[in-house]
Amino acid sequence: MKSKLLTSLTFTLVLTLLLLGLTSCGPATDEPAAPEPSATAEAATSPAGLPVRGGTLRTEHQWMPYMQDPATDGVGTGLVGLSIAESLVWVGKDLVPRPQLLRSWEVSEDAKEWTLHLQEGVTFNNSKAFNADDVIWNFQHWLDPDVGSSMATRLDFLSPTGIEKVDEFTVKLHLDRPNANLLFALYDYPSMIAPEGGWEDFYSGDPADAIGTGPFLMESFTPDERMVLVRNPNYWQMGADGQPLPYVDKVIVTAGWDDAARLAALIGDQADILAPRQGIITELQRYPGKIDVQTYITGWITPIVMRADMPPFDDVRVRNALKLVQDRERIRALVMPMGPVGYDHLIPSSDAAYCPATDVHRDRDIEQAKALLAEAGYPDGIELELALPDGDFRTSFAQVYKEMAAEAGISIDINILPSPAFWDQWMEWPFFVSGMSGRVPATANIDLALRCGSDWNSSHYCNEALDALLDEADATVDIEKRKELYCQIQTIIQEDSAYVIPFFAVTFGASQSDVHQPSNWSRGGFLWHLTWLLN
Amino acid sequence: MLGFLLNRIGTMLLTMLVISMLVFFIAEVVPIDPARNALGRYASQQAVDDLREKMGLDRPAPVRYFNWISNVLRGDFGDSIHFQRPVRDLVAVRLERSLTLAGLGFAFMIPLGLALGCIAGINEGKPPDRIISLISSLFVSVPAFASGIFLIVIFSLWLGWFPGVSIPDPDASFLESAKKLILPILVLALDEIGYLARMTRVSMAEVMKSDYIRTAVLKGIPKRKVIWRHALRNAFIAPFTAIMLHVNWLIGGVVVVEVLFNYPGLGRLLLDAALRNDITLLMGGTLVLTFVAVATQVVADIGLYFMNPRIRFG
Repeated sequence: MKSKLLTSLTFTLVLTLLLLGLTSCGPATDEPAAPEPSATAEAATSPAGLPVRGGTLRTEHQWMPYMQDPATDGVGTGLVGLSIAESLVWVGKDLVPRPQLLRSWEVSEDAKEWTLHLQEGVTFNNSKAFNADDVIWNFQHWLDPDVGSSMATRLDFLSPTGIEKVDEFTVKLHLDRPNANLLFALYDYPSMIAPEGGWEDFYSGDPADAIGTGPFLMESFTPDERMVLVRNPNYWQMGADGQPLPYVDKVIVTAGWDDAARLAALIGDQADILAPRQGIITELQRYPGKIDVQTYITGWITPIVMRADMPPFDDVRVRNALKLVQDRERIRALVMPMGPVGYDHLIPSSDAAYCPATDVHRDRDIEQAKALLAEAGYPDGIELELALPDGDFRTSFAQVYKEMAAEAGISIDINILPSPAFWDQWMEWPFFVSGMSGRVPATANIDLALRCGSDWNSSHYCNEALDALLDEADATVDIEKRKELYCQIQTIIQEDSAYVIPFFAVTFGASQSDVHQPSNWSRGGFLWHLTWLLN
Repeated sequence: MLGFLLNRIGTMLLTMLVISMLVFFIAEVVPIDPARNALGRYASQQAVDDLREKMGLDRPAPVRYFNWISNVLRGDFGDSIHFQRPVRDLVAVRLERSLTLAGLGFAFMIPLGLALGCIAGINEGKPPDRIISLISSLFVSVPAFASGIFLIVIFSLWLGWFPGVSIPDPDASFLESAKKLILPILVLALDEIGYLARMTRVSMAEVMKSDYIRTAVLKGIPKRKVIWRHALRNAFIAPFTAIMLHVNWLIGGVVVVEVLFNYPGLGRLLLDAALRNDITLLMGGTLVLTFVAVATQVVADIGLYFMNPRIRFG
């Protein structure tokens, strides 16, 4: 009797204490007990405004690289490698190509002849001098079908026979068809310049294998874990203070973290800079003096795609009906609040190919959608299955869209698949949520995704008129004339293609406030050689 | 003794053989083309076919199994499809990591779990027992991913005492590396301590009620000596078995902890291999894990053999 009383008393006491403890320890709102920030928000440069040298930059990267030949990289893991081996040009936030291993270039009137002038006096980190032989070897390598590089698709207007060596530092390219946007193809993750003969195994872990002209050398590499880069003392580009770049001594890149870990790492000073996902942005913004958050609108899209070559989507009325059910503003607010609204063409408003004059902002119209479906032979609505990969915001996108479509009699069954299973056959799904990173210019993406029979044409859309317009635009060097063509291209995509695009997805960068970043970011922030630390 | 040992090792080898066949069979049934996986989306079909021939994928299954198992016996687990590096090297590094984490976890939780369980068992029914039982029930009921997140929020975000990410840094000082491991070990241990304490408590309580203990007490032996010399040895048999069974779980099954803290262990490697359809790595890693599991059972049997005279002589 007595022990029973004692037991129940103990139990109640412990429980009460627990509940009290839980209620008093609320979520971190006004006063997070985070460590004191070391630098104040204002001074992002030293007093003299000059860069500060030294220090170690710590970051993480979602996917660690592993390709033996970075030219075959199809997933983007190789972005990190661009700090060791450079590309011929680089493109900043303003979408203008700038010299890197190319000193300058000229293009003929008809955009079929490109003359590339290489930088002189550059050496690879194995002491080999950089010259035209290396560039030619790389082009041949990219175009070689046995290699299987995505560069072959991006450079499909060039044949191996069209590459001419003029002299030690000049290469001429004779294109099969005109293309005014060549430079943008020379700036993607598979376009690192290898020494003539190529790499044996770039990410073997042996620093001697990671040969490049870049600002950093590989010090160590543990697969899927960690990569350490150290300053290349013989780097050829100078910083703002007249000394060779980079400013930092070391970069430590660790394999991708999940969102909770990223949050903890930034707040706990374990990382200096990284790319967080949408889920933790609001939390990161609660530390304004300590953490800077940047938003990048890169043209990344996660469209709902239909197979334009299969019923029911081969009927343009069905396609447009599916576009008309969207309340774009609402979808954006629920799924991607920080991104711009999209209007079914995949051209961001910042892109040179964007045409404001012909951009139609079609509002939600359920009646019209129903009417179109009835006309196409589906008076009682239609049943569809939507496939998508798991993770991030695509799931909520699918849910919201499903509910909106239901009002027009379109009943959607959502099928969420594990990422690898989905992407393994991404070109085969009839109705699915896809993804495409932004490319500059947007016409590169249009080429890759909407030309008849192109490699990444997941909607299997084929419109000869569009192809003809794209060819013409490629060949037109005059900017005004090209703009007119872009307007027509945009209209076709908006009215006829098989994409449902209510928003552009946004990528984020977050850094400690004592990290000075270059103002002209690109590639989601891998310009480590232009970054410096203030402490 | 020798007979016993041979018997156990023989069983172990047989188990390994059967498991290897199972693993191979499962890999067969999965509809993934390792060659296409290795070369990626942009490679031509011709290149894929050539690689298939080179990898020997067009030969019949028993032949391939034979080749694989004979390589494995020589220590060659093949190359990972994703990393294109020997599976053995990848698994070895990760295994060492998992063993470190498991070892430290054990070192922390075994003494604590046993001690708590003993105290509870000796004082069965009294307040110390009640409190310890309640706390261990709590620990056991909270799953690892929940307790992990709680601990990260409390100790990493609010208090800032320990780092939230546990990636090993060969350049860091011993103290820094130790700090990184505290939270993951705590998450592992909390789960286990509760379980171990309860097991030990039951075992201890039972032993304390037995005849020989009563005889020893009646003989006038002081209580402490009774416990140390007689009770503990017998009470620890059941928990010992439990601990040994848990070794397997600690080394391969702590995927949750490894993902939460980004600790690059073997469980994480196998999870990533599964997500990437890296069959070779999966097969090799699973085989290694199975070997660890079976080997610990043999060690456990030998330990029990010495601890429990009934096995020795019965």
